[in-house]
This record gives sequence, C-alpha cells and structure tokens, in this order.
Amino acid sequence: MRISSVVKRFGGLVALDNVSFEVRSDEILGLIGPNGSGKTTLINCVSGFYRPDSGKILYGGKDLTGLKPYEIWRLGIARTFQIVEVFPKLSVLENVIVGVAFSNSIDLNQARQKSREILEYVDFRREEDVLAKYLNLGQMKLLSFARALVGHPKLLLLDETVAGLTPGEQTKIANLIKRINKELGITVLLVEHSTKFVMEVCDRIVVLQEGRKIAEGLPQEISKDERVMEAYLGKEHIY
Amino acid sequence: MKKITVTRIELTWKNVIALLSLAFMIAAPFVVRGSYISHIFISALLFGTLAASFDFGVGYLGIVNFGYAAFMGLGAYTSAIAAIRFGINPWLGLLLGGAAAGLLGLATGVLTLRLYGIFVACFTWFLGMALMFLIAVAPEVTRGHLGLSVPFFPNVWILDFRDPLRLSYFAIIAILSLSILFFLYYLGNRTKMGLAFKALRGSEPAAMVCGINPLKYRVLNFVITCFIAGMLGSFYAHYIRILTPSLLATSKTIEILAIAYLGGRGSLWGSIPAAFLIITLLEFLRPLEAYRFIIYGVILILIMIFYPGGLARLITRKELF
Repeated sequence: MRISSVVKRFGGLVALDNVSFEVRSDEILGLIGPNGSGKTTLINCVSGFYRPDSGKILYGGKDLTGLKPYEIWRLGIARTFQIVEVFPKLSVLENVIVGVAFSNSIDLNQARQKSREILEYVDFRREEDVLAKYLNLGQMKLLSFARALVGHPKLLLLDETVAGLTPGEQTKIANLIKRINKELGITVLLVEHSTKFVMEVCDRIVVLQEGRKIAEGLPQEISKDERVMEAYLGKEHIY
Repeated sequence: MKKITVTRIELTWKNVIALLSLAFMIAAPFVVRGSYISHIFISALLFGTLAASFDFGVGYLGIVNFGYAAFMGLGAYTSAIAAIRFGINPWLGLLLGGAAAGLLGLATGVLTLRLYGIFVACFTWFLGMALMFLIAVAPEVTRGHLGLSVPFFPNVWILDFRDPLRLSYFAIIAILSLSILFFLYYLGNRTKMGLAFKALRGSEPAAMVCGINPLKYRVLNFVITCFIAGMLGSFYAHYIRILTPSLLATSKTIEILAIAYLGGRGSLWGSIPAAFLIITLLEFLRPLEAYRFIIYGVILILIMIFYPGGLARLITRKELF
C-alpha cells in the first residue's frame, strides 16, 4: 500500500501535512509520534472514516480515498480502534462472528466455526457465551483483535492495541502480532505510543510529528535518529 | 451463542407459563364467547403486534419512527380504496396495504436514515402529519373527516365474517400476529441481517469495519417494519370498516410506542402482554373519557425511570436493550 502526499485538515488545523510512505507487503510497520502527531488520523484515512483533503492512498492499484469503511473492509483491510469498540450486548463468540459473517458466501455456521478457531488461535480465555461488556480491557482488546483477524484480512491496521494493558498482556499481543504476520502472512500497520513495544515488534518504523513525517527506517536507525529524539524529548536533552 | 444455536424449546417453568398464557389467549374468545371480549382481544393483538414491529426498529436499531401510525393508516386506506374502487378482496388487500406502506418506507428510509436519532424521529413525525392532512383534504378519494366506509366481504374462502362474535377476525389476527412475531424473531436472532442490526446497535464504527453497510440495514429494517404496519392497517380497515384521518395521528403512534416500551424494548414478544394490559386498563378507565390517555404519558415516564427493561425483564434476565 502506498500513501502519497496525504493532507487532512480539521478547520485551520493541519492534522496530516503531505504524508507519504509505503507499507510493504508482509511487513510489520510501526507508526509512532508524540500526542497529536496525526497517527490515528492517518489510520482513519486509510480505513475510510476520514476522506483526505488531497493525496492518494493506493492499495493494490486502487485508490482508497472516498471509499466507505465497509467497502475498504471488503478489499481485505481490517482495523481495531484506539478506544476499544466491542458489541457490548453480544456474546464473545457473536462479536467474532460479526467479523466474518458479512463476507460473501459464508453462512452463519461456517462463521461460527471460523470464529471458534480464531478465539483458539489468539488464546482467548473466557467462555464464548459471556457478554462482551463483562470483559476487562485486556480481554476486550484481544476480542476486537480476534474480530479483525477472523475475516483473514491482507492488511491489519492496529490503533494502540496495547495502551493500558499490563506488561504480561503486552507481551502476549506482541507475540501474537509477530505470529499472524509470519504464519498467516498478514501485513500489519500499527500505531503505538510505547516505543519499546514498537522497537520490539516492528520491521520498520515511520515517525510523525505535527502531521509531518520526520523519519522512516529500521528500528535501530530510528532509535538513533536525532529528529526523533528531539520530537519526543525536546531539543535541550540532546545538546 | 445460545440465541443462535438452540432451536428446541426447553421445558422450564417460564416456558410452561408462556405456553399456557398463549393457549389461554387463543382459547379465551372461543370459550367466553362475547363480542365485546372478542373485540378487546382483537385490539390487543393488533396493537401488540404493531408495537412488536415498532420494537423491531427501536429495540434492534434505535430507529424511532414517529409516523408509525401514518404508515399503518396508509395501509388501511390503500386496502379500503382498492376494495371500494376495484373490489379487491381483503386477502390481497393485506399485501397491497403492506406494499404501499413498505414503498413509502423505502423512500422515507433512503431519505432519512442517513440522519440519526432525533432527526429520523422528527422527519417521520412530519411525514406522518403530512399524510394525515393529505387524507383529510382529499375527500373525493378518502371522504376526509366524514369517514370512509369499507365494503363488507361476508365470506372469503371458508371464513364467515357475519358471525356476531367476530371469531373469524380473531382467528385471522391471531395467526397474523403469531406469524409476524415468529418472522421478526427469526430475522432478529437467526439471520445475518439480525446480527447486523445488533452489531450496529452495539457500535456503528465497529460494525462498519466488519463489512456492514449501516444505511442498507437501517433501510431494510425500516421497510420491514413499515410493511408490517401497512398490513396490519389493512386488517384494521376491514375489521373496523370505517376509516378517519385520526387513525394516522401522532397520538396513535404514541399508543404503540407506549405499548412497546412497557413490553420491553428489544424483546418483541413483551409487546403482546403489554397491549393486553394497556388496552384492558383503558377499557376500565372509559368513564374518564379523554383524560384516560394521560395514562400513556404516565406509563412512559414510569417505565423510563424505574424499569427501562419493561415487562420482558420480569421474565428473562437477559438484557435486551
């Protein structure tokens, strides 16, 4: 997927200022940056919740800008949300079923089957008939992860999947992301605050600051990049 | 997941009570044999089913159709005029009334369901009023406030409608009501469509990233509930046999809404006992004349404050709304 010169404004605020980069197939690409740098805005542009003011988002030769979220999902792009979104009055299993039932040529029985497999795959440890609203945050995040995964997307957009989770849960998610990338061949674009997590999981990293891309490269390059240090820590820490 | 997998009915005391009340409900007019009792039962089933179908919009998708009575009235007038002008019999009338209301529902749905919450309620409310005034000002077709009398079809197929006990009408509305309830329950709980409704109700953004087109499902839901309103309106036309524009009034929608809320949003079946309760209560309060309609407001307020789950919550612990 290629993101080229994407601009998104909210009134006078330029949330994304001419951002371009490429998501290579089969990689895990991390998108980091300080608060308000435009990470979630970019995810929202890619998944169809926002329409960029200019620029293109090309995915397999097709421009995604202007498509609706459910049309983008049909092209094989799934996502999770920063503030976790589950269907509170549906059971765990039903939540996952929704993630696959609306692809063509799948009936509810097949959807149920696939959902059970995915719950097993992500090692979800609660009864499948408990209502989603009774889960804790870690379980909800894992559940929405499973829901995004069950339709076998080619590209998965993860918006702060580990924010607010315990270190143990973070490690579990980190391993899971690496596993789905390797075993299922899913390309991952993830937004995260925790630099440690991103350094550990990602193949490459793109850094945003105030809506502009300030760096792009391998984790070890990024961790030494002066502009990135400056963005995160301020100038005086370097000099 | 039990909701989707379990198709047999378990023999718990709750189900036994439910089946007994169902049996009572169906048997009573045949046993008691009074035209007044029949009338109460027919009205309760008619309005209970209307409320259940209204609940299919409110309880599943949060769509409040404030012009619901107008869609019912449109079905009633369509079927009545078809019978007067072309001698169309009530059976076809049911479909015709449903189709008219369903088509208007489709047009309204496409226009309004891009909007949310209060905007849908307002638009449908205005539409309902417009429709009511339209019927009132076109006396050459609808006879306006003078009232349109519907021709009597004494026997269609095997049923004899001259029976003063009106048992034929009761049989028809009972069958209609049960089929509609089962149909809605099936749609809501056993199909992808129902799953989409529930997902949208839970979280629209999450539903969209699961491939669900919100507009499509909201319109579908709207058309289905409007079709049912039209069909039941058509039954009303041939049962009451006199139609006035007041059938389409907002106050009728409020009656339906109060029954649905008392029954318990999202339960569907709760509307039936709720309708029996409210309609018999109103009969008892008849000496109070117009003041008795205050009861709808009081019921709505009490339910919203103290028992938002409604009657259904008394029986099932499952959270429906």
